[in-house]
Order: sequence, then structure tokens, then C-alpha cells
Amino acid sequence: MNTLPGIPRLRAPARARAGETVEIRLLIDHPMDSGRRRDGSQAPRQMLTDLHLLLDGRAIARLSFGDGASPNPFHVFRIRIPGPCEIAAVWTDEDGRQARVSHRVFT
Amino acid sequence: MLPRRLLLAPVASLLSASPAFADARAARRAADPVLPGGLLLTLPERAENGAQVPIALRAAPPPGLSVRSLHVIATANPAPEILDLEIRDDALFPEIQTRIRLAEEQEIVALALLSDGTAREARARIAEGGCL
Repeated sequence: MNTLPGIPRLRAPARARAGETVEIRLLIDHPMDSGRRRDGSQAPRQMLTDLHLLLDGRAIARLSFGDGASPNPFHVFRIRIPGPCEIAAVWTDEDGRQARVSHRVFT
Repeated sequence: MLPRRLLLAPVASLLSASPAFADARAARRAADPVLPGGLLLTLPERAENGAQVPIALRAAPPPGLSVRSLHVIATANPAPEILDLEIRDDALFPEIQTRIRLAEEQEIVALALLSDGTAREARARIAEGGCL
């Protein structure tokens, strides 16, 4: 499924108690090039459109990127852990290519 | 308190660019009223690198309400929309930290749309620092 060239990374604790709040750090290599140049010319666009966060396979959030997103998008979220679970993130680009990463949290 | 028109007009016009943000614009137009407070926007005073400006947004909804979505708008960027976060489950805290790209010294506007149809707004100015 990882058809995007960038390497997706998800960092979160390996262990947490049920009900505990954990920090999730997400990073992917991507140029996030809107194609807009200072001189007004237009280069080819290369942008991610969105990032979905999943908890045990359920989408809990969707982040849509605007042109103002920085290259190599980095995000920090906080989630309340329901118990042992799987956290996943899926990035999608404008051509529909995706990158997925997942992480298990044990209690 | 300012008359509501004054608060609504500039933001509504800013939200009228990209089709990807149609949902946010519709939600923003429907939001009534827009209130200050309950939303904390943290930015450096000065951008060292305009391509990587750290930003943190944290909403604190009143008891009984939840945050449906968070939005960040860079008023002076050629494409002002920075991000839209749609929250579908309260396991996720209504907050985000990321890095954004800013074209010049400008005002950043953040919005939180709440479950009762109202919105909260926060604004912060950022000065130009190093090379952009």
C-alpha cells in the first residue's frame, strides 16, 4: 500500500494504561511543493492532500493540507488510549498514492 | 464586543479560495456567532525560517461541547488555507502541532468549530525574521 516514495514514521509509546493520554508524532518525507515560484512562474505541483488518523481501524480524524503546509510534514497529536490498540496514519497525495504506518500500544 | 458583521466579513472572504476547503467554508459561514476565547494559538514572534514556522493550536471547549474541526489561515499567503482538521472521535484531543510555510510578515487566524454550531477564533501576528 505504501506507493508514496517518502518514508512514513509514527512515534508513540509502546505501553500505556487504558484511559491514559499519549502523544503521537508523525513525519513523512515529502517536498510539499505547491509549484508556486517567487517570480510568478508555475513548476509541477507535488502535494499531499490529507492525513487520516485511525484508532483500531476507525478514522478518528482527517487533516487536509493547504499550500501552506511545510515540506516533510510533521505533526503532533494527543490521543486518549481506550486500552490495547493500534494507531495508524495514512497520507494521500494528489494522485491518490498512499503511505501507511501503524503502531501497537500495549497496556 | 464588536458587531458580528465586523468579525465575520474578513474571515469569510479569506475562506473562499480552494475547493478542498469547501466544507470548512460552509461550516464557517454557518457558524453563529464567532466568539473569542477557548482557543490558544501559539506561534513564534519572529519567523527564523519562513518555510518551517512551528505552530500549536489547542482548543478548550466549554463543558458539554466538543470541537468538530480546527482551521488555520495565513492571511497574507497566496493560498491562505494552511490546514483543516476534522475531528471524528473524542479520543483525539482538539489540538495540533505542526510547521507551516509563511510568505511574509502577517496575521494568522485560527478557528475552532464547535458541536453547537458556534465558532471560536484566535489571531496572532508574526514578524519576518530570516530569509523567507
